[in-house]
Amino acid sequence: MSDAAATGNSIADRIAARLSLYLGPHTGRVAVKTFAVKALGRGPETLTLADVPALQAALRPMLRTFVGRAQCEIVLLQIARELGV
Amino acid sequence: MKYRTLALLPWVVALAFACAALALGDRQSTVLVLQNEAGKALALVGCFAAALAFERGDYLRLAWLLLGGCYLLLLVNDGLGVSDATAGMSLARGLVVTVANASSVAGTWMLARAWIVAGLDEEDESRRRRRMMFAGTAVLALAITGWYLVHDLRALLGGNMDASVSIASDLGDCVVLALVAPVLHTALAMRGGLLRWPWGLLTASGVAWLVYDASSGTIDALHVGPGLALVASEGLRLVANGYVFGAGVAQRMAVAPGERESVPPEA
Repeated sequence: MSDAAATGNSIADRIAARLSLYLGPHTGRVAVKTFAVKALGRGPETLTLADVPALQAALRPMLRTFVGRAQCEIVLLQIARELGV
Repeated sequence: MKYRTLALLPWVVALAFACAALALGDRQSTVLVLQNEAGKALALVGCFAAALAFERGDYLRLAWLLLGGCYLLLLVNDGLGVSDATAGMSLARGLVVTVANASSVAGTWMLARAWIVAGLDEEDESRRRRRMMFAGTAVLALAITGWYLVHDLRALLGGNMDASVSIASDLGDCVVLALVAPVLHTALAMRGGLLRWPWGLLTASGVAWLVYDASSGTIDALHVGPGLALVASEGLRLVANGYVFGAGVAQRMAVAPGERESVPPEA
């Protein structure tokens, strides 16, 4: 996990990969980029583990719209588990 | 049920009904009525299956309920049509069809707007492409349904009050067909993901309706026998409704908790 935290890109890619199951790879990446900029004011390449909760909170309304509240929380929980946050 | 099966199913069912209708000769009209009602019932089941995969308050739950409400009301209208045609009954049926169309427009509008509601409509390029697609489809929808609209407006101006119901239906068709573009845009953006299926199958339904509406005049121009023409156009209607069923089931398969574990895609 420390490698992922150090690179930043790896965190963004893993979140995008999780989202891509539903949204497809393109929109998965777009979503991470869009909501990283919205929530953090910087691009996904700068993501660290400390940014993940804020990014999750920003992703929540989008995910709720497409997959509903229940599945949204499952996806966010899996992201948190996978990244160890 | 596999997603690809949902894409093939409407054609298989439509083909089976077409074979039955052509084989039964004198009883063709009975088969076509049954086919029409089966299509609406299928679409209703699909919409409600999708809606019930979401929780109360979820955006898409309401969208699917509204779309399903249209099919429910159309089935009610068909049921009312069995009884004697009185002035009161005509008025009641007119109201039911008008509300059904409004429900369809509202549901499709919500599904088409999900991309924006989700906050993904941020890129200028994406927004411009979506608007251009919508404008193109709106022109196409108006070109296809405009003729019916003009015809019904003339009838209304000529004193035929029943034409007001047809006008509501024409306007509903026009808006729903124009919304094929944003639905297609969402399906394309989701390619490679599970959610491409509900939006993709909804797009397929919209395209089938476009062909259905456009084919009415074309089939006449080709001088196809009336029986065969009716079987073909009713087949298209079943395909359109069948794709709504498929979209609803695909939506449920993709998002219902317990029906799917969220796992990352294979590399």
